[in-house]
Amino acid sequence: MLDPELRAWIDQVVADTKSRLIVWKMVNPSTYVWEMTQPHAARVVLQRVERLNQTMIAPGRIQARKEFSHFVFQVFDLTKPAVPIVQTNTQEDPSSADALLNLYDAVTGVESKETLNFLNSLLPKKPAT
Amino acid sequence: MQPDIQTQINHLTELLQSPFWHRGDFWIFAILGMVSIVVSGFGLWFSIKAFGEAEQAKVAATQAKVAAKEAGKVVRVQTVAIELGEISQRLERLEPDILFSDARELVNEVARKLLRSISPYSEEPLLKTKIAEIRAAIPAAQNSMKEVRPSPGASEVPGAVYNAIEADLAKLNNLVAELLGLFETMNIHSGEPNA
Repeated sequence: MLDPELRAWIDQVVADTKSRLIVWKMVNPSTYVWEMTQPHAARVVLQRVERLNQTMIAPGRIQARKEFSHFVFQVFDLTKPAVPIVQTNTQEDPSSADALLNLYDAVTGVESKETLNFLNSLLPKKPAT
Repeated sequence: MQPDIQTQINHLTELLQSPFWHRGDFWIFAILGMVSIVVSGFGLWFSIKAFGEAEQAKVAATQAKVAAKEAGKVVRVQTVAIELGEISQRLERLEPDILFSDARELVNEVARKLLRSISPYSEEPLLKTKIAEIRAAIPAAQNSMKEVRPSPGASEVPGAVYNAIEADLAKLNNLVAELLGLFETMNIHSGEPNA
């Protein structure tokens, strides 16, 4: 069960992400990282884990579809050994699924907007009429 | 002239009236005939005996060939079982802080070894379904690897690769264990005729 205080903290991170106070960095296609050095050296990791759901359609024939995903959320204090001080996995704790889905949508939404802004900046400027 | 003719006729009549077994040449040919029959009989008997022995040798050779083939199968199955055991141990050594390059090497190595080992048995009725499941699980693991390929210039986050592939490799390991069990059963069945 997701701690209500942790949920409130994640909601705040969502809000700060949308307002771009928090900048996430994509380290691979499914993982985003928010790192800071002040006030503490810390790292927040959000990862989407996808699974292929395999069903047997005939003896010896298996059909695979990418349809199941869950999130892993970890917070590391970088001054301590590499053990997360907070770790939530929506597969093990489904109650955290909504909060982490919101966070993931916020992170990817900001990233998409930035990509779109960059693409728009490439277009030639039209003279003011 | 008359008495001579009469004498000759009497002699001929005498010859014709005496039994043929009283003649020496009859017995010579009779003995030769019997000897040839006996020799032919021996020849026939030896021929039949040689044919029987040749048939027995052929049967023995066929049995030896089948036995050698069975023994070869048993040895091959045992080799595959050992390889599957090694693959299983390799899969169990997945470390939580594994990095992408090591994980890619692990997945590729396991995939290569597994496919090489199981391919000859893909149509074996006892193994067919399990092999199909393994063949489907390998691309699943490889696909999960694509999801954690490091972005250019980004440093890797320890644990990310593990989170992505741990379930896939655990599933693959379970399938390998089940296949290993089936191979061991097959091994016993193959060995029974020669036990």
